[in-house]
Amino acid sequence: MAAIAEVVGTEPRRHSQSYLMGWLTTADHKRIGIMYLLAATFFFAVGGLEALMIRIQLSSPGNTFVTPALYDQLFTMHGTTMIFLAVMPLFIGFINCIVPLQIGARDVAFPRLNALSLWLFVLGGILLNSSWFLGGAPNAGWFNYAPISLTPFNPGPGIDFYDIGLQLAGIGTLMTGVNFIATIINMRAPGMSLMRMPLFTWTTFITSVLILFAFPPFTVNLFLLMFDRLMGANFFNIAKGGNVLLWQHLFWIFGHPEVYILILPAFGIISEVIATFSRKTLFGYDSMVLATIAIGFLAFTVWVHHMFVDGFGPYVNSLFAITTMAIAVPTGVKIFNWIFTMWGGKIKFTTAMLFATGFIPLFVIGGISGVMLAMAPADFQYNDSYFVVAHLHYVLIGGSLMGVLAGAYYWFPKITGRLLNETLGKWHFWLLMIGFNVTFFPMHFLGLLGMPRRVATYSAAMGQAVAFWNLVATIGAFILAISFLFFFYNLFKTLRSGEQAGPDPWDARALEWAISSPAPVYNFAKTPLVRGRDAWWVEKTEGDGHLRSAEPEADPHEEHAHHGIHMPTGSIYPFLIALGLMIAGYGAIFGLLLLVAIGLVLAFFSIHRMIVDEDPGEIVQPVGGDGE
Amino acid sequence: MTGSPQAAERQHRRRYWQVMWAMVVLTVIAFALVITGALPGVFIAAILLAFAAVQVVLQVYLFMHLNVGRRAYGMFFGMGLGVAVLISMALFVLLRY
Amino acid sequence: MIGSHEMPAAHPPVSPEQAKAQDNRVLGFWIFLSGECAFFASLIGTYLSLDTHTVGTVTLASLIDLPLTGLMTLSLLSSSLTMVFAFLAMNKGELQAMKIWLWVTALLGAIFLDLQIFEFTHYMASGFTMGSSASASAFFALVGFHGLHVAFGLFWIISLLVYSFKDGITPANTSKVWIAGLYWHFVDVVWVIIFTVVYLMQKVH
Repeated sequence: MAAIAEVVGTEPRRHSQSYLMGWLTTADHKRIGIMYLLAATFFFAVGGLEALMIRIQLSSPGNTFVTPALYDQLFTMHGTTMIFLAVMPLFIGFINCIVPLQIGARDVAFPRLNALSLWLFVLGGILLNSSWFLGGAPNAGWFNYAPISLTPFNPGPGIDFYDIGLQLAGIGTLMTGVNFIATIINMRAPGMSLMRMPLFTWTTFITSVLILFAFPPFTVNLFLLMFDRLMGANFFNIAKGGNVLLWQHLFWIFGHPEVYILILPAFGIISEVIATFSRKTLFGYDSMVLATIAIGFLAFTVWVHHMFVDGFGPYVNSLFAITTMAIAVPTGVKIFNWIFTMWGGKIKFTTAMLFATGFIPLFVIGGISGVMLAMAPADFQYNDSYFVVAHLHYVLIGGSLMGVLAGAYYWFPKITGRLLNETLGKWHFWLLMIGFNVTFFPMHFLGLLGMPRRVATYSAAMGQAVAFWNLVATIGAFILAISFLFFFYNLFKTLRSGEQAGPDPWDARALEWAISSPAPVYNFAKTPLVRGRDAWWVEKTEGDGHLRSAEPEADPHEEHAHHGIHMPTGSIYPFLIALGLMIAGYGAIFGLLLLVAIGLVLAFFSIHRMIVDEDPGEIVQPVGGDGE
Repeated sequence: MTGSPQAAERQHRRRYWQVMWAMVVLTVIAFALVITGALPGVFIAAILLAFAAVQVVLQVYLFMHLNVGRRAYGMFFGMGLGVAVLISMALFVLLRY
Repeated sequence: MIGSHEMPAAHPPVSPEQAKAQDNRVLGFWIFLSGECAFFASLIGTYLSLDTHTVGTVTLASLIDLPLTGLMTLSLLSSSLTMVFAFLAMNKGELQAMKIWLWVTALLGAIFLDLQIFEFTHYMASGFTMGSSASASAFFALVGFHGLHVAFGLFWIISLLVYSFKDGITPANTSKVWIAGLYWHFVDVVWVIIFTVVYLMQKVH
């Protein structure tokens, strides 16, 4: 963190605060975004190591590298970590760093709530991962089906760590959703009408709506499981009238929108990157926005396709198969729009652009296997086989992660002020493309050959082909891992001695590129006046290359000609709320009521302070004059 | 609103009382219907749901002032109610039958 | 702005940042309440899918005492009205009247909670507990979470009453009371659904 902080010295530190307190109390969206990115990168590395251990175990039939019990924990934590603690927070990190800049705002609508979101995520993630050292990690898969997650089948504390860790992180995410909806509705600069918003802002908006409506069912589900495990309730206990399908329904009512929460921001990033490096405005902007809204709506109507084999019968299954296949339509619209954006453009293949173009074929493969899975009768064959594993990795790595990496290479200069090394970046891209496809394409075959997912090993009797493709996949996984060594080395090298980026290294289109890199603490010295779609491009091509100010000219005769900029101040209470809830969580897991009480008192005292305190704000004097 | 602020204020106060009484009356009728069992069960159930819907609308529109709020408030709350109906009905239909 | 002709005009001048912060707060709170709809819908759906699953233990229908439910409904319903009166008083700048109405609201909320605790203890003494059947688990989860919302509302209103009016009525605490009020009304809306779907429906044959 220190290395980054040197680069991003954006927040004027008050002298009474230590360095650490500066970060713990910050409410600056850029700093919060950076902490999201750092924590999520750490969790990503952890999840990646878990994946490597899985692949080593599966490299040959009958392997005993890990025990079946440990294997269960590994695949559970790999999935849970990657989805909740890596990819989603990476997107939230970019959203925090970039969206307020794209709409010409000085901060988000609720800066302190934003800090609360961050700390709930970080501490929830730490709580979840501490399970490795405190009695065993969760082992019932990332979707944690009942009854395998209930006490009789799973007496250890692992599931409780899953439950409470995700509860904390989930509440944090919900707050982020509320925050960014309010930010995008209310904090846009004058002239930034909805249909002028950059696509990344649009997808953030729809993603936030999905978060808002998808996370509460998950919260409820986790509470029900907690009641079952810790308080003897019977929601999922069949002997007392419970219903295990209830978990599946609530989980997937959340879970399907969740996978769109993981892909929509990637759509946004790809749209930004492709438009920038094709030097054209995005093709079919209106249809892009409509497609995003349509995907967001359909997200809530398809969840039973995860449950086709549960036996709801042909009518229910057909209904959900049709809604699922319908999603291919707006998604196809997007794919074609990206291709048409590149068509006839002056394409420049920077690393960011490579990732964005690489995204398209990989995501199409994932989408097509998705439509295959959506056909209910065929799904009975694919269900719980490696075919599903191949599909979900094509959409989550080929889709989401490619989006994250395109965003990383694209916005790294905006966030830190330095350009990532392009040569290392291209090594990263090509090794990743090779490693990824070598790892996951064979999994389609493995699934069709009958290899089930989530089983610690397979028999040599399954045949030569199964053993061969598994070995290939393991080799691919190591190539993939090596590609990330290039990335991490690149990050390290760039932060130490990277090339200075300047405000607009890519000659890009959206507002974030109109201000210095990294952005000053107040973002825009004067609130900009937005005069068109691709707001910054409009100023560069039709204006004088400077942002117009939306603020009235200060009257020089007035006594205080320049009043400075009113900025929110930080607070320690968001951190303390999250800390209190984390302490209470540990208390609940280990049945220590005193610890629960201490944690809740701390949390409620801090909530009380958040309710009654009024942020006085502070006045910051801008350095330059015109927002450059 | 015409007239003096005091008159407007009185008018508001009166309207809130009217809403309150309307809700009390609906509640009393609902309870009475159930306690006496005056109608076949299906009818009572339908009436109860209708009354609940009216009460929700009154509360949200008049006590929470959605009627004078920004359009975004109503849009989001409407979406919330839509999702709520979807979730609760889906669980009801798919799990109970 | 907070969006209504109910809003006072007589306040001291508000800076654009303050006005924006208040506007954000109300908008953000409506958004949050929309999410709360999904939260309670999940609990209601859970209840609707499990409420007949009593596995031969005590049924909810045999325990429900409609006059008690009626009393609880009345206390919560009237607290909604007193909350509105608190807001009317605040708009006129009558600090004392507003505080009294808020205390009355809190008191009515406390009566509701007290009745609910009484109800729950009675049920549990009759063998209808979280562990007795899935039906009971679903009942306690739904009605209990509503009760926790009422309790949090009390905590919130009292926090504001005790700490937030040292400088009288200001634009900042006006919007705080407004969102606390929105929350309180919303909790009442949820109760309307609960007493209909849970209590009354159990007694319909």
